[in-house]
Amino acid sequence: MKKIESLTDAQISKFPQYVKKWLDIGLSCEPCDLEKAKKAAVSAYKAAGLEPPKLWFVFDSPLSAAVGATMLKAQVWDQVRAQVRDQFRAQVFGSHEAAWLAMYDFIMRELNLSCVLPLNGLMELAKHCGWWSPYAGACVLQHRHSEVHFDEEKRLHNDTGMAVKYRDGFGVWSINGIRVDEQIVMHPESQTIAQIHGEQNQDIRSIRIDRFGWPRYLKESGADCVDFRDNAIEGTKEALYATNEGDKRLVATCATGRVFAMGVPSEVRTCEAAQEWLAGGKKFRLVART
Amino acid sequence: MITAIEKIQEHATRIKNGEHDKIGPGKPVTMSNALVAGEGVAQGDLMLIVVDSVPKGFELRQEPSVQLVPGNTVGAKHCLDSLDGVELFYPEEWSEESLVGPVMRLSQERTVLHPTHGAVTIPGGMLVGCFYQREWDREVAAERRARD
Repeated sequence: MKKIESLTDAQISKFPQYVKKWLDIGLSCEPCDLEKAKKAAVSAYKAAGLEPPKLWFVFDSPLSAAVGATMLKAQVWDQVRAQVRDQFRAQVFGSHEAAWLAMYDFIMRELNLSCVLPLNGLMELAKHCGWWSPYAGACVLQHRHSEVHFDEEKRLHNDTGMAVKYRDGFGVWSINGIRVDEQIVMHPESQTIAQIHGEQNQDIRSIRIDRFGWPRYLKESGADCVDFRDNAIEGTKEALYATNEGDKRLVATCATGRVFAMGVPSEVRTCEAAQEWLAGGKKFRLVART
Repeated sequence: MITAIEKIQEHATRIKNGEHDKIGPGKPVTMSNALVAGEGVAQGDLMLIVVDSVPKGFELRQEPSVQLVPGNTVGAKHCLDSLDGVELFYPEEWSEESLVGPVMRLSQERTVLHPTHGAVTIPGGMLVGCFYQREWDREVAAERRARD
């Protein structure tokens, strides 16, 4: 077989269709198609040189699957002990394997490389179910997530509920791609200053304050107002605050009537210097804001 | 005693309610012909600043974009109403992290639109550069991730 050194323009032009296809697969919120998933799993077992399973279980989420598998081991595994010998225990991520399966789908279809064919079962499983756990003699399938939400930068994000939700209520809370807890998303106002200050993860700490509200945080945490100005030219008012940790925030209004608390380096001492830093160190004279 | 934050919050409420004579949600602004280099108008976090020449290293792009800020977020949707009568010169590196964007040479009046901020109209004959606001939190987070 001739070694492939590079892709043709025609092949490269097909990248977007594979990206779309596998994004749709990975983000699908459809329930598991049990029959198609079983058929695909059998194909994956055979590709691995294993006997297809005789027992099938379907769960709603990775959590219920983990709990279910543990209980099944205790109750059912004994009955089928003769056949059951775990070949591999790791969870397989089904539809969430889309990222790497997309590449092999492209290789299989566009480059006609038969060496990729054994992955066909995994590709079909990705299309029809969520995570799954293959065991010798038994296979645990899961439904896909029922909801998934992203921010504008395609990071897991939902500020009004779970970012990933499963049918049994299990899920993940996430803000701009950072995993957080339910309180931060659903009841951020109920956080305490002690909770915020006790947060060790800096990304989460920053999210905690954003959700709590910077103006309220600065007020309740006892931050010092080190400068204030009435910017008559731009029609805004600004205050520079220093937090107890030494961070500096320029609190200002904008033309939409929102209040922002923009971070600036701790060495900044005035509102004017803060604006200069925000402008990339340039002394612009802004005559209006919109 | 009323705190500085409370003063700002009161001021913001006046703006939101349309009670401020100078600024308000969606209120359009026209850049004056009298502006000189270094002066300009802010549309959200995009600063449209008069410049006296196209900076060194900037190149005229034959197929420019109406969007003046890179990225797919709503915040990045600062867009010219048309490319007619506009020459756009781009810096060598133009990314979401760069603080400098394209410079526009306008031979006719054009308007910069945005989904949440008021429109900014720029008269013909002006040379205007796009400058982006720095984001401390983003820079600190990037540094933290690099360190980790």
